Amino acid sequence: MRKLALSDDILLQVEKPARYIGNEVNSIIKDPDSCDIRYAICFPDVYEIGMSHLGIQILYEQFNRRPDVWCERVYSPWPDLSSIMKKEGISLFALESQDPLGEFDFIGMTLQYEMCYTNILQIIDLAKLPLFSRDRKDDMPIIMAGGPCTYNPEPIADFFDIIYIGEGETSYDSLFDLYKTMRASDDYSRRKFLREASKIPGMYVPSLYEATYNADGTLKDFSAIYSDVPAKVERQVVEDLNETAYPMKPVVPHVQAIQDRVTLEIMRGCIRGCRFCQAGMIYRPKRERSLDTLKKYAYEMLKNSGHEEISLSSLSSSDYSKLPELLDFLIEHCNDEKINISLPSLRIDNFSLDVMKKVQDVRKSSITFAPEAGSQRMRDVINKGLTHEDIINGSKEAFLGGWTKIKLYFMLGLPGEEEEDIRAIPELGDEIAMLYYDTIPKEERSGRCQVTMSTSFFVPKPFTPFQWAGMFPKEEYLRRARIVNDHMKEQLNKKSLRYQWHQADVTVLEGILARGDRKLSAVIKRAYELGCIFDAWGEYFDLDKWEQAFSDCGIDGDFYIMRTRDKAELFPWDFIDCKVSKAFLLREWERASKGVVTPNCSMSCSGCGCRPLSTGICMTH
Amino acid sequence: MEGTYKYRVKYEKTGCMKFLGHLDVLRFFQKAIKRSGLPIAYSEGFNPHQLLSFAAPLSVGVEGYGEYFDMELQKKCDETDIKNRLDSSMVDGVKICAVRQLSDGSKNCMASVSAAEYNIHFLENEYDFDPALSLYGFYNYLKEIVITKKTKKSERVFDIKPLIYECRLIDGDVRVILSCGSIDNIKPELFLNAYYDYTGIDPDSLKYRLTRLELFSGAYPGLKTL
Repeated sequence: MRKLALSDDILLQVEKPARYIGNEVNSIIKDPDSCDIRYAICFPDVYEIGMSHLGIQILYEQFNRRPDVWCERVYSPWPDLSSIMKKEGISLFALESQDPLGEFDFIGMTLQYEMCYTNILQIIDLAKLPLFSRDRKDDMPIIMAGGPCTYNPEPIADFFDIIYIGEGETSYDSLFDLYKTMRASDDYSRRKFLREASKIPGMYVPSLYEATYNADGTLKDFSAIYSDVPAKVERQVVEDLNETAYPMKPVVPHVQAIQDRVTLEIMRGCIRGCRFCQAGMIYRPKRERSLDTLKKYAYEMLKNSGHEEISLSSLSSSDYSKLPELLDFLIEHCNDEKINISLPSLRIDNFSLDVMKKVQDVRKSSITFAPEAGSQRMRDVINKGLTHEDIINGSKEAFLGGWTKIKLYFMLGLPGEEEEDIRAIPELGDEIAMLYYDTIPKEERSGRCQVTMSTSFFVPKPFTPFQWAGMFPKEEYLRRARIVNDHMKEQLNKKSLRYQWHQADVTVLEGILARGDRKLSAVIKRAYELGCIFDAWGEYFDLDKWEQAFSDCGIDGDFYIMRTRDKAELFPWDFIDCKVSKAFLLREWERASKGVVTPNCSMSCSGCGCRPLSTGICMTH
Repeated sequence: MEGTYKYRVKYEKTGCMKFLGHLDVLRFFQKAIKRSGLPIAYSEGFNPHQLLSFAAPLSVGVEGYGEYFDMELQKKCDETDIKNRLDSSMVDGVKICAVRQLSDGSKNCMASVSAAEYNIHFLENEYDFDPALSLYGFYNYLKEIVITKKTKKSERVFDIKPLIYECRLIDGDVRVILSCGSIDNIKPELFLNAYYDYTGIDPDSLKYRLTRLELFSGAYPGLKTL
């Protein structure tokens, strides 16, 4: 019988104990004695969230293909268990072996959103390891990070030994081989290993770099301490996605995951070039998986997991060149097998409406547009390649197709946003509602249509054209949301309109953490000491504690967000060669301020800097 | 449903799998059936779901050795073949014990279940008496075991003794057969709480482990395993 790290007594005290037992279908058990490297891969949030993440599943598969590596999973213990573990001195463990993390060679975390930063510390702390890299001893695990947040690794730099910049499929074999060789030698030391690791492409070792600051607090210089350590860390990019590991036997969670389904990543990267979107920049260029590959993956993954739903994953599925063929295959296969198909991120046109009609109940479902901004002027500023006409035509077709519910996603607080742009949001909603009543004759209607607008507050991210943009105080965001709400009530079709908006508490903090520098590690540590964890969860987020942490550390958070940054400023993340050049981003920032749109990658090349990678969409021009 | 073939599956849920809640067990089997490739039948409509019916839910933390669900297949299949295919889709801790075809029109297992047998094992404690013997004595000594059942609206006082069909001492443990199902569902915790209340023993000082051994249909004393 399986040995568990936690006693029955503890497991019966906590919510959803099945989060902590491992033993899932397709989880991988190896003999620890036959493995040279034990890797704990971690998503620093609760099990149901972490298990929905594809990246971890890919790396889990890839690492475990090596007979000398056993990769296991770890997620954040929910606060109820966390406090019991802390009180009773129980060490955090990996799900498969239930062994304490301190016994592992590596702990690798994926950082998907800034609000998980205190959870990083919870993991390290519960693993009974020092929070700061500099305090760790030779016999302790190497702690690594990857994922979108690491494109500005500086706020969390002090916690990690290595931060990997790029797509996980490329450089880990070199790292594992190096580790094995050095570990086998008599004079292994952590310092020597990290020094060598820093020479592997994409591996950033924060302790080998030093930052100096100007009197105004901005970065003066950022450079490697030693001459053999690369001055720039280059983002690593997969050339051919048909050749990489993919989890054909996905681990099937015991507790229902947020995304309880097969995820089929059809392509990576995006051609659109929306100026607010970090993913649209840092995963360039767009690279597709072949139709045959995807058919095989879909079939195998459904068969091996038993999931009854499959979802296409990409930044803009409509841009996949073989979408009709792929959907024909899926619809045929899934109909027989009673499997649901979920189609997020589709552009709304006749083709996608036809497809949606085949896979969902029109009466119950809604059609989603993401215009991101209410006015065409603002949509041009953000380079959202969606015109007013596209939205109106798409809505009209949707109404004619039988849909009565339309959802619209917007952002508030975009650079250059004026009051009229804000007011344009409910006006657009009203126009769509009006369209329904004009399009569908009274006798064919079943009640009102429902147009739901929701807004989130924009947070500028590194490696986007808006990385220079300033943010606003919390009250200003809420004021803008109130303008939408009040103006909605003035619309003719107000009874058909709904508006949802988020709280602004986390917006400002997320902004600080996204574009902060190394000085913030101390603040994050202080916030953790004050009791902050699970900041991404409304019920646990405590702004007062964060404010206290900033003041305890003598750091002014506003410095990082409340100014439009100078074009000449050196950013904490500029040492990363993301392949999208700063010159391109600056060009885009300037075009944004003039409201000039930039063509997408399929129309023409705008010289972002990715072309030398010689792959994907870049090869078609 | 018309034209389907109904099978009853008996399974064990032990070890770490006892920590799965009822809905998680349901999802576990839905996916396992899908992996097994058995021709499971689905409901009609836009969101078809597998035609499954589970007998009485088992509390989180309790091992079950005689658990049941019914499933409807689109085709008639060999019982042994079904058992083997399902069993190869299991994980450590869940074992398929038996599969048998049900006759047309038989009640599903959720509606059929009328009683459940539990084993109560007391864990190590500081007391100088044998708690199993004491619990057994409690059951035999009292003519009535009265508990108060609170609902949102009212408090109801009633005697659960008639619903405890059997109480025996076996290998130092207490073995009970309790009424179970939609009408009089007596959880073993109810019986134990009545014992703690009556004796004044602090439940934290005397912990126990429950195991569910079997589920029955029919009326006592003519109970039949499901």
